[in-house]
Amino acid sequence: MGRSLRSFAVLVLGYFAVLEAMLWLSLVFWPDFEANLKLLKVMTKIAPIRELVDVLREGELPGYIVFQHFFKGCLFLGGAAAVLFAVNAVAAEAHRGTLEILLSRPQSRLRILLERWLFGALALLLPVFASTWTIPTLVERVEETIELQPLMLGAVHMSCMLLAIYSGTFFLSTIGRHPVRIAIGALFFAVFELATYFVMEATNWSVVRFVDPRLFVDIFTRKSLDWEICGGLLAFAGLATVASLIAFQHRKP
Amino acid sequence: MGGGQTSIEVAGITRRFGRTVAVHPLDLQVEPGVTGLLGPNGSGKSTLLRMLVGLVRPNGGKATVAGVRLRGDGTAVRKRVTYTPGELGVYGEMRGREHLSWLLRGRDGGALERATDVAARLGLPLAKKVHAYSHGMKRQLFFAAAIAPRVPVRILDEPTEGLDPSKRREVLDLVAEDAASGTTVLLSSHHLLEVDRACERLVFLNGGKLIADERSEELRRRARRLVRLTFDDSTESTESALAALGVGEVRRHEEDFTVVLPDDDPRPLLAAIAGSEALPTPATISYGEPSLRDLYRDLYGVEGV
Repeated sequence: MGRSLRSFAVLVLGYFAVLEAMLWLSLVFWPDFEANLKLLKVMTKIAPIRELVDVLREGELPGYIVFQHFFKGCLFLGGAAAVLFAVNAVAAEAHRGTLEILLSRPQSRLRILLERWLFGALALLLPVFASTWTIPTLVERVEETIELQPLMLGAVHMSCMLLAIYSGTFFLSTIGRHPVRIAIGALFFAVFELATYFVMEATNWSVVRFVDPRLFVDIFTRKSLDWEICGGLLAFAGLATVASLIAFQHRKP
Repeated sequence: MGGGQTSIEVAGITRRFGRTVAVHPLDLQVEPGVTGLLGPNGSGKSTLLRMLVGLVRPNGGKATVAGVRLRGDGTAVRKRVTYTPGELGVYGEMRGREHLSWLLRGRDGGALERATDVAARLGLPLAKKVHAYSHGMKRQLFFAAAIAPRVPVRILDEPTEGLDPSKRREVLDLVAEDAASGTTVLLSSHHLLEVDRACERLVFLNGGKLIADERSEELRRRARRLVRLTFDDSTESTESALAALGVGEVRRHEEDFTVVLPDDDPRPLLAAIAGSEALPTPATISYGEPSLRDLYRDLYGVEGV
């Protein structure tokens, strides 16, 4: 338990520190960044990026913050963390030959897997909420103010997406024994989805649309979640977790 | 076999991996004491042991271990059984003591202290990080974790593999001490000579099938009736000359011969060989300690082990 708690603490603190550093860096450039947006829009011909720039301009500081924190920080860093935590849960154990000793202890497989899933999910989501919670304080440093409650709703929305990525990869980890292959597969998938997101004709087919900056601006403005998207992402995460539990019951060490 | 209470009872248990049958339907009863499960690599030993602790699900049959019926993922069995895997995967970043504690999670309160004592007896440096351990040291670490908890049954997959002779003896002594207190130990090996002294009973597997189940003293008595001879140039006439000695049944296996004696005294055969003019001088004569391959071939008629 000591080892698990230590690893957990290191993961959570490290991931939180990087998210927080990214937030800091993004705020250093405010409000200069705002002045550059118009120029950026003129320069780029890619329609979805022009659309992004519009969102940032219309959203003002909250638009800028949700873009920097949720779309850039949490999606990219959080997505990578989700894959990393998930592949380590089972596939990495199988790869280094420790799955057999893990399974031979007097604990049920259900408990082993749920414990691992829960630790990974907490390590993934706690820094998202913690760093979101610090935003109003950080914003005061550049003599601005921002409401915490709608930001926390954004964190809930982001968490649904991260849980979906985490649970999907967790399922692959449960049935696989090559963590690097799974991670590379996830990386290719992410690049493909991002490329699709930036193609005007195909952008609506990209899963990145579920965490579009405009959605976060809407959540901030309306102060309510988009339950259709959150529900869908949570349903996917739930199904992937149930599939992992079933697969793990029959897993050979 | 024996009149003790059965600790492990297996009825028709079987396991396939794709088209390969790793364990054919197998029946086995194991009583308290030390039972050796022997067989060459790929004979199904590890699969059988893994099935008994719920690590691999059987495709058919049933098993009861330590009074608990094997069901689902075998958690109920693992609470009453300790197990050491044949393949050693470790968390190299942990220190020995920390690893031992991790392995003993869920066991009785005194298990860690007893495991530490066992490790000390084996001379295992628990303060060292496990990645610095040799193969044999890792094996001892797992053994210490398996022998320490208070459970009625221990299942040990190749517990002496990779150990030097003195450590092997130490491990087998600890197994014998443990069994003397009423524990049931089922251990596997593919080296007969490594474990036969510690085992009261030997069960032989080959190709996923149980081919023999004997008391070890009976096996040793039968094995002492086998004398193996090799000659630099063996011919048909060598075989006839051996048969003409009239001191036992002669079996030829390509270049070497086995003489099956009527009793366990080899002296009449040795005297006859020395006195024979028709027989060339043997290159080697071996007696008393058959390899698993010789045993399978000469006692159970299984070739190619």
